[in-house]
Amino acid sequence: MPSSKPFGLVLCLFISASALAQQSSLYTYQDLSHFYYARQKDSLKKAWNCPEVFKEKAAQKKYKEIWDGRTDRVTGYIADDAYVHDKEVGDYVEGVVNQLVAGNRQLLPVSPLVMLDRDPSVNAYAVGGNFLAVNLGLVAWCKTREELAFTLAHELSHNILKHWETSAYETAKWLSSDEYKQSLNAVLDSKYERLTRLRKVMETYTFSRTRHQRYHESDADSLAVILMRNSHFAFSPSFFLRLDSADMEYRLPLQHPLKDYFAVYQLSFDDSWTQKRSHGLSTRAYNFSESGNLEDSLKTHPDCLVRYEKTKQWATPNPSFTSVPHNIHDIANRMLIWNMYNSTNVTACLYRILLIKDQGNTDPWYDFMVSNCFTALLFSDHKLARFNAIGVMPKEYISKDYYGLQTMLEQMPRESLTAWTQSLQGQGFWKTLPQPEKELKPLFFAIALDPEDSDKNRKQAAKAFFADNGNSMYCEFAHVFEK
Amino acid sequence: MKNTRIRLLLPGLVLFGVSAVHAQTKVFKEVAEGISSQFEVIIQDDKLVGYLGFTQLEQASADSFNYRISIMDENLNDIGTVNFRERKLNLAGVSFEQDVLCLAYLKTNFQDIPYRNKKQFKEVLADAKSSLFTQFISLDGKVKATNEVGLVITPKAPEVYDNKVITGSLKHGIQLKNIPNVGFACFVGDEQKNMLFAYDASGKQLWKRDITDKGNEFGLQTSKNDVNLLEKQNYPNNPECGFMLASFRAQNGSPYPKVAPKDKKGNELKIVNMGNDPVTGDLVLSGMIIDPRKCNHWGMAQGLRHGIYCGVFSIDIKGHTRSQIQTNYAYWNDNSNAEFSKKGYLREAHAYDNVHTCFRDYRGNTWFAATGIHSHFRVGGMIAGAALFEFIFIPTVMELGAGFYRYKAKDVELLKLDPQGHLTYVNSIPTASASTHGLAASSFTGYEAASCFYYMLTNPETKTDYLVVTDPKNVSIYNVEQNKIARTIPNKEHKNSFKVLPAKEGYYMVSEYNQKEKTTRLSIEAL
Repeated sequence: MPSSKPFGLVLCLFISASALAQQSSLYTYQDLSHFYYARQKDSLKKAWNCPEVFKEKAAQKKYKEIWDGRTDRVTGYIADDAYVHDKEVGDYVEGVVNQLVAGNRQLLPVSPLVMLDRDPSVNAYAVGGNFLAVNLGLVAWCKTREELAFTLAHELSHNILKHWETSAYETAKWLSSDEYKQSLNAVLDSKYERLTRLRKVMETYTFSRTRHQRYHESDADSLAVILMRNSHFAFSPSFFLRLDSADMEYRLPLQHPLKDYFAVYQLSFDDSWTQKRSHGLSTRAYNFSESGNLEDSLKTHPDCLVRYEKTKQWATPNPSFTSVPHNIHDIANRMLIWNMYNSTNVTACLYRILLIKDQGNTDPWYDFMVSNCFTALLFSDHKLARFNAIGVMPKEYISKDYYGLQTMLEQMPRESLTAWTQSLQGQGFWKTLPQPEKELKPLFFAIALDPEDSDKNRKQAAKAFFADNGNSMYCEFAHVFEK
Repeated sequence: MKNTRIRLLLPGLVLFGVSAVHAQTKVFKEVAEGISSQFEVIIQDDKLVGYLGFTQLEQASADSFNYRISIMDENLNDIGTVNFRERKLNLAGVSFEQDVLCLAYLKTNFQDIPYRNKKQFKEVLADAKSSLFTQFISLDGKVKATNEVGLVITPKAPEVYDNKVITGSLKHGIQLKNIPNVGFACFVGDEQKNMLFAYDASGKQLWKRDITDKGNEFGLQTSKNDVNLLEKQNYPNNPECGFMLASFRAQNGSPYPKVAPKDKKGNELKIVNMGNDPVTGDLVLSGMIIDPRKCNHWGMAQGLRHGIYCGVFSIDIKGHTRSQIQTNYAYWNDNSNAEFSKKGYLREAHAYDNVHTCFRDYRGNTWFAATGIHSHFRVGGMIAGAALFEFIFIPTVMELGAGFYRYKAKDVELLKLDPQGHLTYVNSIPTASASTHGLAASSFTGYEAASCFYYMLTNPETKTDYLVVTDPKNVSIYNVEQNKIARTIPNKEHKNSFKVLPAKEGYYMVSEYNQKEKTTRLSIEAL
């Protein structure tokens, strides 16, 4: 009897390729905030009416300026597509928020308006007015549902404790006070050291505000623990220890030498590209310690270690944690990577892809993004903007591997960059991609490899993509060339 | 592709709007008016290693100011700041050696001081003090040392509209260069004398020399072990002659015999460039050999047509004995080079060469980049001149006014002088043209400065030199080794708000001003 193994293997490959081909293309073009949240934008404008809190006209005017400034910023972010609706990630985050609301009906009588911010930093923010924004960077970073719940509980606590409103009130009061006016007049009256005096006026206020804000942060931590407990979320203060290294993404080393990541695409790699040839100051042992650290008076949050020590007593005994589902992480990561790419942040985008590949992820979508990164770099090179696309970072903020990657992208000759882009656009993984990704290929060709290098061709390719993929999230990218 | 917003670093409350500045605009405006900034490049061995922002923050007392120095690496990333208080400073030079930054300033107690009447001016005059102030900053942000040398500058009281401020300037501006493995050299000339100093990297003065020669212009260049000062005196009958090289031992300032550059026939040499050989590090002088019989012809274009130059040269100063000074001359006035006429007319390019830039490549060749000057006989002018030949004075005035020749400046011509002394025409880099005649043809400087200019950049890794040629239509980056234009950037596309500037080794900086947004985009791109 002939063995069925080869047939089985082929079948498996066929099934997995079909599965990949059917993989959803994340959010749609219409899920971008200027489309999706258009109604909420108008509602916010109507709902966020400035209350009368001061009798003095000047103070009330300042308060209204601050209040309206908040509305303008949030609605501006919505208009600029800073937020996005994604059903799976959105539902997951709202599920956590709903559990917190359900367990704390007295404190949270109305569910907040939650929006997903496309920013990659590990962050969430409350701005009063029952509004809560959660960065995709935070969703991708949280390992457990409880970590996410604590961050959201902390932000909701700010809203419950009316921290924004209080700060706005205090600021308006200070800015309209005689003391403030007198101190500014004293600056004008002084013949010397005007800037130093002005700085002192502002710092006195800033220090007072940030110090209060730090008290607020501690209050929000304490209340968040209560919100968690009421909603049956386990709390572990070790979260703060992990949070301390939240911005270390680009300090993480890669698991393999850089060239190995490109060898799989049969791209010829030259080790010298990663060797810094510059004799500039970036290669010297500088140490301007005084100017590198944030002054204590300007820190808005207490140190993570302090927060850990303070909340240690409230740790849930024998906690059990629920991991954030793989698909949520995957979607969040892919959205992040796409958004970073869309912002022409090539090195950071590529490094994130390599870190994900280190986790054993073989999804061809990441190969597609590797190809796109080199297309973007070549296009930027044509447009004399390669340096900005790379976003060269000082060595002290990044890992040795990140430094190697950015050096490689910087020093790789134009001819090699063209050859790599050509090779990547001809790789087999394109065949396994879903339709919208496949249909982007002519646009990518027109962007960087078209010998005519014509805006007209780019526009045509973008239009053709739009015609067949009007709902694809890639329309945001195509739209730039269509314009 | 759109830009992302500013990243927020930590989870927490963001007080939208609260941090916005709400103070009285007048205060901020007035305080901002007292702030002035200057952006400088940091140079080591003639290579850009970083950038520096020098900001006068505020007046700190009756005679002092608060300053901030912001230091950036070659990728424009901030690496640190230094704050200090000093008297009025004008930053004149920045250099780098042995991980120490040296900044040279002109320090005065009268510069930019407002005055209302003669009495006030006389008071300032009586108490006027000026000095050369050098500051040595290590890469941990510490000012390791400072030096001060008194200078003689008489304050001046120019009256420009209603803005009465006292000024004063040096006769010869401050020049600062690093000396490899030694420290820094600094040249300055005040109303009484010219001085040359050397410091080690700790800021200690190694030596000082008073330069007694009566030069009208000075150029400082340091090479392997020497500090070199090129002096130029003005000879009224021959403004292109009068160069002399004074060299000093870097360690102790002992002088070497001066070199008055002349060829073997005694012809004076016009030094266009003083630089170092990229391979040996030796000092190289290069430029044009002046024909003594023709050198008094007025005007550049007319002079070229009459054969003001009889060839080109390069001189390698490998040491200070006669045998260590290696010369390389190539002549065209002896009809020995078929590519040129006796007057230097380049037959293939149909042009005379107005050489502006010379440089030495990695293969020992010396390159001469010149604006091609094309002359055309004006038939109308000649007929009128012939008709009026009896009136000797009138044709002369005609030549001076409208001229018998029309000149056109067009293309950059590249000539190569190889180590064996063979001079060859290599290529023409096309540029836009400008025509002129008569008196206006005396110099194409205006055209060349405003519309067409060129300079050399190098990539030491690939040992390739590039010539960046800017004209109103394009910026062309010409690969000298491959003899072709590597990149053409249309200037028109960027609406003249676009500049290509030198950057770190192997790169150039693209600066593009967006008039609408009033912002400048900078990008550092590979050659």
